[in-house]
Amino acid sequence: MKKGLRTAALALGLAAVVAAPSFAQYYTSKAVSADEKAMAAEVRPDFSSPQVEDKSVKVSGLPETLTWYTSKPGVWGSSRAKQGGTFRDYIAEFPDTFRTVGPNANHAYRTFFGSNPATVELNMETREFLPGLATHWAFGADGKTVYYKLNEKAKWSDGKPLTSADFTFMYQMMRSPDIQDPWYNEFYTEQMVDLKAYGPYVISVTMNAKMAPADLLLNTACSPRPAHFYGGKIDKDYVDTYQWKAEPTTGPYYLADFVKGESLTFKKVKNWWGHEYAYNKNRFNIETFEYKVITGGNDIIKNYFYKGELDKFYMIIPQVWADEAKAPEIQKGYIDREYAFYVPLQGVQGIFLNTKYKFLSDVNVRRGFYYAINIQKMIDTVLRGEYARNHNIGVGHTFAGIDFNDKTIRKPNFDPAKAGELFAKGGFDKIGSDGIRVNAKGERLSVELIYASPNHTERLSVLKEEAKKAGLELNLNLMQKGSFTALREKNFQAYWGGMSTSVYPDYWEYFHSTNADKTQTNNFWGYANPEMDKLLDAFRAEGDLKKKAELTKKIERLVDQEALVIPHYYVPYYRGGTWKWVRFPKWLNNKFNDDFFEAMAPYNGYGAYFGYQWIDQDIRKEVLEAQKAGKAYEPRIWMDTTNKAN
Amino acid sequence: MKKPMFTLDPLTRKRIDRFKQIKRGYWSWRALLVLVILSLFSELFINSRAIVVSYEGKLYFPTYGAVIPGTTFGLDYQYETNYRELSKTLKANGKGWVLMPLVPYSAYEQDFKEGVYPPYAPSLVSRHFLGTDSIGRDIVARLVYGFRIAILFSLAYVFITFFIGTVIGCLMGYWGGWFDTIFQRIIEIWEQVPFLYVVMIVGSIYKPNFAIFLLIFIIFGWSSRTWRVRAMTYRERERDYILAAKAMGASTWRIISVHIVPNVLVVIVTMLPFAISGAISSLTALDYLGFGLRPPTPSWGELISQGISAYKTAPWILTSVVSAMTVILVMIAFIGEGLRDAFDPKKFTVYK
Repeated sequence: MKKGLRTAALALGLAAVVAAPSFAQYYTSKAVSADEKAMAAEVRPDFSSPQVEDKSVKVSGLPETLTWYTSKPGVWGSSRAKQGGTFRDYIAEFPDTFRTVGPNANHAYRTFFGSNPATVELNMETREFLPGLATHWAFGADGKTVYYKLNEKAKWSDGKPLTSADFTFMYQMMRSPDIQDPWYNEFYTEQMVDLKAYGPYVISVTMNAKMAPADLLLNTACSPRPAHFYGGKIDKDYVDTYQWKAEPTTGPYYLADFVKGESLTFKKVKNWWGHEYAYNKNRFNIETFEYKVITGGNDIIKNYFYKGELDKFYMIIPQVWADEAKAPEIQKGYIDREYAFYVPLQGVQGIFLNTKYKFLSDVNVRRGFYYAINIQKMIDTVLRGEYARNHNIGVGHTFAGIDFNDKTIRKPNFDPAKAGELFAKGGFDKIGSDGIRVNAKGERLSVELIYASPNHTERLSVLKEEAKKAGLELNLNLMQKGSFTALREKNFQAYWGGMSTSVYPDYWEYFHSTNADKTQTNNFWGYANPEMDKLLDAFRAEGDLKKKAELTKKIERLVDQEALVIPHYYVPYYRGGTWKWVRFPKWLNNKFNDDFFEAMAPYNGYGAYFGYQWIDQDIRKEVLEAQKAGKAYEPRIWMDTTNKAN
Repeated sequence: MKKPMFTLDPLTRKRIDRFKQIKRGYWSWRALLVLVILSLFSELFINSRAIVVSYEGKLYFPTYGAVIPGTTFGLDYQYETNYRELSKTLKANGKGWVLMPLVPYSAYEQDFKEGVYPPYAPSLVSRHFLGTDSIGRDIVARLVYGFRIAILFSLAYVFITFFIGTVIGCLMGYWGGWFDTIFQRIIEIWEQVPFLYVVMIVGSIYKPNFAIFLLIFIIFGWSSRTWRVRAMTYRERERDYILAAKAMGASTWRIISVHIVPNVLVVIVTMLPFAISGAISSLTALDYLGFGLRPPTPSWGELISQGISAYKTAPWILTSVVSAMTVILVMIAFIGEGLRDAFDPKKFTVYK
């Protein structure tokens, strides 16, 4: 009955639209329609930035003769962009310190304060390299060294010029025990073994091992520290002295003001040097960023957003996206929604099966899981068909134009009969009175699945009910604390979760037999296989990225055969709502960039700045007036599907 | 209470009669009793398994007992029969019929409809009388099975802790001396352990099952039951009838169980309902916070947390669970109030 009504209503609605289209009475205003029109005509720019040799560069006084490279990306920013305005955002907690190294510096907002570009930056569309603080780079004959020629126009936010001294100072600082940060001490001593200056604008950085050129660039790309700000030295009091002192930056935004515990204000650097590069044109348009501390979670943040005190709100989760569509501010078109697909960088994720646990040592039983775990139904129901199914242990591993993932690997669809056959092969050939399979020893095919996030309970409940059909019992165990410890100690049966990764994967730590019987290692599966060891060792010994990629694909196929991981999904998009005055280029996002709403700070370790959006003051005025008058715009969802998989 | 543990002496009779006169309490007691008993047989009313299936002339009763695979009814799968589907199939091919329970859903299974996503609103047609939660599980089923778990849990918890508390409290009061002193100190220290935090810590590290959860509750719950019993026993043991019993050579156990406990019972009985509602509330609170029983065990706490997060789009979840919880807790409170009045010593003061 209800369905009938719904259909009837829909039919009526359609009829109304067809019969009298002029009835669609949406309000439009001048600035809004002008910008929407301009937006419609916009095309996705060419983001490529292949490395090119630049013969015009001559540098004397270097120990070897070098070939200098650079890349010449075009204009990427939108010509619609307007300058100025304030973007209001929140932080979930006030940072513990403004330092970016040392105790407590590893907080969520660290990138706000360490927003220096690196010598070279990663292109988030192609993962090629972009000139950053260095305009050119060259590779030493030893295969371990990169030379950088710095941009002579680069300046600190306090107006002082950037020189090679700031890099040598950074190197000295990172090695100093006084920063109380062993990780950096280790990296800059053991991994990055040397950093030298040749005159004010050239430096060389040396790693401890030979690497492929692209790899070398990735590893040697580093950011300077303002030597003048620290008086050229780091001493014992560093941690306390600089607890609440933000250093000047070479990036586009500096900390202009703050109220401890309450807010942070960042402002655009006057005449920022970075606009010298074409690819920075029409970017970093917003003048001020205000971050207010808002605690209490998403519901509270949402209220601030709808009251108009925040400019953006994430709607990643399918249910949130669906629910928020009903908000009056969205239905009346004061808030636009932006939805862009991208390719996330995802490491080994899914359900890990411990091969050290009784019957899970049998590969048939593990492969039975491929058919018994109904990932597709979970995606189609709880996740509303919006997440993308993952078939492999890695996603988005593209580097320097080379793809490292074997995209031909496909996991089968849910099939209880097929799962039953495999479980039977693994000894579980009888079905107990409760519908769960039993083996000759009387063991039930029952596995405890540990997971860490309460948000995942619903997803896993679907898997649990479906697995019953294959005679498999999943006991869900939510361990908000300690699930990762259990994993590292191999004290688990099945684990739902995952690991992060870098731009291309090194699977050695996960699958090499060296760690198969040791706890506190990343070989969670207790997996040992000489064939795998051979591949992993060959991968480590290989210097050529293309050959490395081939080995990675072989490893992925072997893991697929061994059924160590039941991959689940990845989130192929970023989306949310912004008040109408926050404008974006039509193409919204880059292929490998995740959070395109984050305009000020690079979101992850590889992300360069985004900063393509801007605030349109005229639209702001119009929208606020329309809201006062109760006039409704047509609701807008700006969507970009360029990087949608399949 | 209804079935007294000891012979119905005139005093107890009077108390029961008095309780029956307190209409609110008495009716609540009867209603709750019916609810509890019904909930014990909820598989017959709320279940995805059919009550009776007639297939090719043979009758099947799937409610209790082993899983019946689909192949039994000529379906093409080995896992448990989907009886709602079977009903349609049999109607079509005329090979038999299926009698489904009133609510044809279990508390665990997810009912998804093509093209629309849960939570689904209450509907008579789909027999989701109170709608579904956000993964399509029936609210009625979740409520009733959650109620059954909560009430059985709290009854078990309350009776066991009162038993332990009464025994130890009586002994403390009766023996006094060093036994009393030592136990007093132990309990004082024990009671300083923040109980809910301990449960949360244990719950976040190991996900306890029903029995272990009950055990943790009991370990930390018995001590508070001792104080009043101890005090009452102190008073009773000085009375003449105890001296008389002693003089006649009665054993400690006999004096406590036959003479002291019946007189102390007043305190226990009047405390009982409030302890039960307290236990329900704390179990619900823990489930709400995510430290309770293993998901996807049906629970009110879990429904409340779902209901709150989906209140704007699916008000029926929170409404249902809050109404159910209010009704049950109010009924228990009425019973408690009735008992307190009925057992009020100001009305019937009789020394044995």
